[in-house]
Amino acid sequence: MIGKPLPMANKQTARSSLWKRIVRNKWVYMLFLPAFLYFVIFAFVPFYWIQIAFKDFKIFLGVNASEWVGLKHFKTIFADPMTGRLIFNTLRISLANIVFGFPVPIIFALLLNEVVGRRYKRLVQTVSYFPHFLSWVVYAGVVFAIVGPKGALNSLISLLGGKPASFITDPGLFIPVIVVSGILKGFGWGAIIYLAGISGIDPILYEAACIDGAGRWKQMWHVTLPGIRPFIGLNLCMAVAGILNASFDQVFMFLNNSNKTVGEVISTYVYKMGMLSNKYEYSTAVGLLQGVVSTLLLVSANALSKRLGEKSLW
Amino acid sequence: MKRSVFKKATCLLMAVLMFACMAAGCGNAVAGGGTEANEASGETAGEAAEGRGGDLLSFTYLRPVWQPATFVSGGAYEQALFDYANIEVDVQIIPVMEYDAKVKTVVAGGTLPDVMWASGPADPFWRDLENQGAFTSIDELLESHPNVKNNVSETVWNQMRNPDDGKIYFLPRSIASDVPFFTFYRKDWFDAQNIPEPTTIDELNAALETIKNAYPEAVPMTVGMGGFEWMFKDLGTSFGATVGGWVASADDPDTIIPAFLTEEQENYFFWLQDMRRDGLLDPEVGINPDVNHGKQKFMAGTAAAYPGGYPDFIEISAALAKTDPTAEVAIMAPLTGPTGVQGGTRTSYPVDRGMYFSSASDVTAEFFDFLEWWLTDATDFRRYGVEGEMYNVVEGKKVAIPEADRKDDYKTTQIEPLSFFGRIEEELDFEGTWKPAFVANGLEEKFEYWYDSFMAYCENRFPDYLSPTVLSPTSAEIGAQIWESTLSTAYGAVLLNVNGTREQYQEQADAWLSQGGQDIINEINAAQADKSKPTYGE
Repeated sequence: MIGKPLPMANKQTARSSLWKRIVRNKWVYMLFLPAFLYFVIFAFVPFYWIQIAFKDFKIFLGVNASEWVGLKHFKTIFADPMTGRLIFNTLRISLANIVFGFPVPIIFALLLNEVVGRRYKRLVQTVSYFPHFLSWVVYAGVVFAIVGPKGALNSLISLLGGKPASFITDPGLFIPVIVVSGILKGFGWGAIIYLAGISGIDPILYEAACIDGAGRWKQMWHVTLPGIRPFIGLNLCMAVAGILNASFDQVFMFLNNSNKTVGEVISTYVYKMGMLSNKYEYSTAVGLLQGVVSTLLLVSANALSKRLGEKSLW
Repeated sequence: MKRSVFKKATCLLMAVLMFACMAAGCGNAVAGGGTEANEASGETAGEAAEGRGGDLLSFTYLRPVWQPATFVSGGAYEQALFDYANIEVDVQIIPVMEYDAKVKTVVAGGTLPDVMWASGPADPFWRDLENQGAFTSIDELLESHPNVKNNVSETVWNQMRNPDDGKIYFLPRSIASDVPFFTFYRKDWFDAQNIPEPTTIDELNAALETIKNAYPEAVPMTVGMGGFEWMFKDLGTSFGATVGGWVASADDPDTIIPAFLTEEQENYFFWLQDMRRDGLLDPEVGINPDVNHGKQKFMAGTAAAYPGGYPDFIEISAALAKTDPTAEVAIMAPLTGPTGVQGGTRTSYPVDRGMYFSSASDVTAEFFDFLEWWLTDATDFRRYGVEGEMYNVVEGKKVAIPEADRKDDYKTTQIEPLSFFGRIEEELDFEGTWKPAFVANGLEEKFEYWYDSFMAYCENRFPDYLSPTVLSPTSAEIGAQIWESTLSTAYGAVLLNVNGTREQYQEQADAWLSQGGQDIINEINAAQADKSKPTYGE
């Protein structure tokens, strides 16, 4: 849509061609500009303040006037008895989300693709997308009304003669609550990319499969699923890269002193130390470490995806 | 051609819209979105003429609110205040439960409002900002504004002084040390079950057990707010616990230690755990994200008992009367604990937050002029507000109009964000401040009973032995970390679920001591010469 692929004959031609392309599609680039500025302002400009991780930061003296302290805050991180537990909890929650949550949008997209009634399909799509647009604060209130001590689920358990469960405070139930609530909130929205991928599959492939005697199930398995495999690979890459970023909003909303042994993750701890205990340097150091590891994971996952012949991020 | 122009125009429009959204998102989130006000009501015109003269004072103001944060700028009360006081306030409010966290985020942005509330130099964060030059020294201003200065005791002023440069930056808000949290209960339910008012913790447990069986749809005892162990603080005194404070060590009276290391507080915590296990405590306590759920349940008639601040009596009685006209709210007298300790109230340091003034502001002196006037000439307006809207004059006396009968613009949620400090002596002026409130709500006959209850709670005081301005460098450095890694989880295991044991609690307490807690205790004891029992409120 933006233009033909660049002829890579020489850099001069490429630059000139890029500029021509931009001029030709200036209105579309105008649309892209806010997103570009967003990332510059909120993702790249803050890199300047990474130096806080190596300083004794004083807010009103400013970052430049604050004293350098070398690797002091990184040493504190590795001496902190919480560090091991935080990494373990973060990995555990992220892996649980990937193992149980990652396939759900794919399955949902495949199932939805098989629905014939258009109205019903649209209704299901709308209903399943809706929770995505609620903030975690609001959505956690809904979840609390269901799994809280006096929530609908416990009322049902009591009605059936069972003993109510402490979904909110029992450390053993924390991860199931996080995973299930996360799936319910995001599977509809997560399926969009796969539905888009499915819509791009050439119908001739289905016709050919049909002529070869493939039923609905075989078509799904041998045509639809391979058709969206590049998207699955890409999303998995991103999920692996974000393995150290267990959803802050979600975990924070369900975290309490009772379940923090299994629920405290790197991002919630960074918030507590940085914002509530004013240890901006410590939080920045943790964030920097987290970013470095995430980058390594992303590069590795991307390389693996490339090697396996799948679509890669670059 | 036309279609191409249409597409271009649409693209441009969408780009402009996105920019506008970004700009709006990055804008200043001031409550109500501005300071322009509506026209004043007729009743205030007369008062406005007698108000503060001089130049218009405009300032930005950041403060916490205890009431729901539903303030809308531009209301009639705001206009009446602005006209009367000749001020214009650009106010930003934050719910009190979130204040300490959010205000630090605001400060971390590097731009301070002219006047802001803070917890003060007892918190190393604020003391550090004083040293960085973020705030204006107020020593000279205090000398020229005697009513502002005399609203705080000399002892407290000395404690506010920055030890590094000897200056005062913080204007503390004096409060009464006695802030008892009464145990309110449904006397009509107790009477119906022939339960006399409990006098001991054991009797309370037995009474709640009976209530649990008699009223299965209701919760025997509930409470709202986060940190609910604090809301039970005065029941904790029946165990000898000084919740959230420091006390003299049982082994060495010349050493003070955190109360969470004492057997008394441990007993109190495990009593709360027993209450939860036995179904006597609302299972949503400490878990429900709605901080007001406990009070709401009591006012809705679905809870039998509820510990709350002493002023709550008026509100809950009035609300419950509407829900259930036969309901009767009573106040449980302080209970005797299992070891024979007579309960009372956990008193507070006589300062609760205060104000800092940005060093970048050029209106601090004018604000002090305003505050001096606010504490003196504006006393009537400060205490009673706008005639006809917030009070009526009956037989020569000002009688407050009940909250429920006021227009929205004059309800507490609209007034609190625009309030400043009052006089300390007015807070416990029972006849002048509290009795009219009882009269206004049709509870005049309950006033003496409430007053006697207040006095009964204050007979036994359990103060915090730690001077709030004594700081421990170790605590400032790693206090939050070692708390998170040890005792915070123990608190959760004991208070939120019923699995925590005394052995586990002890293990976490020992871990806290070994990870730096003992250093904190040593530093505090070295820094605080006077370890005698404080006499706040006596």
